[in-house]
Amino acid sequence: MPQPNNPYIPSPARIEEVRVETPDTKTFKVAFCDDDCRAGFSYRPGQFAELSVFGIGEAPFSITSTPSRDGFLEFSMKRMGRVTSALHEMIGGELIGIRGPYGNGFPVEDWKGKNLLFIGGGIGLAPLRSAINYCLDNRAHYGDVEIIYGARSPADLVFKAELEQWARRDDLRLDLTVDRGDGEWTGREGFVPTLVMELRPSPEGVTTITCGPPIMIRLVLQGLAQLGFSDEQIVTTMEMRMKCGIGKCGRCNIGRSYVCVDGPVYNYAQLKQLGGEI
Amino acid sequence: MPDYVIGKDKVAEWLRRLGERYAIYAPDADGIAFVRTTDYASALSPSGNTRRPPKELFLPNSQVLLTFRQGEQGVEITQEPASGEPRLLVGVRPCDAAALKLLDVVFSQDYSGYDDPYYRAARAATPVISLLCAEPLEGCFCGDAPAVNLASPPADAALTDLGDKYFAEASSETGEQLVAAGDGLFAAASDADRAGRDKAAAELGRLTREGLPLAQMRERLRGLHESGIWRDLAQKCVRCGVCSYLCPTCHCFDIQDEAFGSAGCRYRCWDTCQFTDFALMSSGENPRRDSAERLKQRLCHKLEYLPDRTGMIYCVGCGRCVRLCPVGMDIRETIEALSAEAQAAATQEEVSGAPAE
Repeated sequence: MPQPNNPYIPSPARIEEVRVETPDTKTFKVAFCDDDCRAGFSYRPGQFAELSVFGIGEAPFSITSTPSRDGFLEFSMKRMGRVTSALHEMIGGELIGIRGPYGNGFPVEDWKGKNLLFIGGGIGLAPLRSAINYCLDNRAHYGDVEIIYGARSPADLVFKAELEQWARRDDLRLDLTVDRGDGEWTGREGFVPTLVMELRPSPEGVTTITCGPPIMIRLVLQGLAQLGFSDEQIVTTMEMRMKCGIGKCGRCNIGRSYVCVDGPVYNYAQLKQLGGEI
Repeated sequence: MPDYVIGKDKVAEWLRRLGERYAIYAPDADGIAFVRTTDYASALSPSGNTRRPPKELFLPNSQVLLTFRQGEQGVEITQEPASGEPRLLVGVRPCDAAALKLLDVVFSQDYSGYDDPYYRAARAATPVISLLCAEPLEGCFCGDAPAVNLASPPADAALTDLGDKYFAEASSETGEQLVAAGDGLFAAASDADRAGRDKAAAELGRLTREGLPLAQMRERLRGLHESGIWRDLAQKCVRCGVCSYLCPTCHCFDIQDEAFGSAGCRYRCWDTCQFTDFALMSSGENPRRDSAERLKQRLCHKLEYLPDRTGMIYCVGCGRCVRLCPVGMDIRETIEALSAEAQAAATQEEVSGAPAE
């Protein structure tokens, strides 16, 4: 049952489907067991939730599904630590716990009327996917939508079926790259920051949202600055070690800002002011 | 708020009466921690402060948050009842009373949008009677801490030793009720009693004032985030975590599961930013990978970040980290060195017109 007065208590949820994205990444489609929980869990793209594997522990994950598609939540994760390893063992039907949603999320309302440029690397597409699909489901509200996405290899590209769907749409532009192709890859090769500089997107009326490995983000930020993007135009979502998710346990701060309640979404100007290291 | 006096020979009877309503916790004879006692005559020990601050009665070292049982039908999650046992803390020093107020802010709804029901329930069920220290311990600097009020600490009732009697200020409705339980034992305070209390508080303030610029550090630390001074200051640290475990305002915690078969519990336990893996992510990224970064986190959290969020300074000058650090790191020296560095950098900036390297 939902426990509105105790934010530490998760609600039971069932894993409905597990999709293998890459050799080390899976997507989990999850639904609350209780209808009230399902109805009460109202989230924005870019927010996250704490997932429990009972007996193993809890960890925060960005919600990769969009609130514009109701009834379930999706989380994509690499097999990394104890909680992700336990989740990766699951095949569907298992019970986990969810509490949240937490964090500020992307300012999708402020983006209305703007052109959007999403720049993702590897599993960093997971939080972006929520915003991308949200904007596609509300397509009329947004200007041009462009996605630049890359991974180490073709096998490491996540959400492949969706990438194909996006590629077929005529109301968005998708540019893919891989660091190194395999025998069958006919697309671009090279790093994401390099592709950004080749494509030279115009900063005019654009908000750009980037998420990926720290080295990619650092180089993308340098490149965007060269292309004339202001710090306020660049939005990213931060990752810090978290426990409580509700601003109490004191661990995830960047300067005075707690990533769990004040973030995880910041623009680059805010991050610079906080003294955050990217 | 109304003021009273109570003769020292009557305190045991007062606490005995309160003991019928509350489990009474007071400093143990060895000065280690607050423990349950029925030895009412010696509950108000005049010795120095306890090694372990009373925060553990509200944020225990380890605390179960929930239990779970997984079965055929699903998972049953049971919220661990927040402790509502009526307790009374007696003899809390003004620094620790101030620290509890600072913790109240962190665990409040207003602070982060979420209330902490376990902390709140424990606080609501536990009134605090403070006692002004007879004399400071080595390393005490509460006189420099803006959060500390020695004359009127933020307790339900505040006691000050006036020789053969205690001055008692009831600072809350609960405090009034505590005094009312001592019906016939208290007398109204006189102006001379009030003057005695003020004198004792002023004297302790004088003895514990070193002129540390605690309130100024919020601004001074801003320019030091990239400074090399953290490396020099952190060199001695052995990462034992004592400074934060025994700090009355440190509150960082970890959350872990423990299970036997299909049943188990989720608990939280103290953690410290001084441990190497505190901010280590499963990806291997660690934003605070060396002791310099970790010292910066601890000092800035108390003196810059939390003041930015709350307007209050999260060091109450209790001196525990000074007295109990195994390698003699002294937060007073650290603050002085940081302050001097910040001022030197500011002077440099004024002279050259550009931020100092």
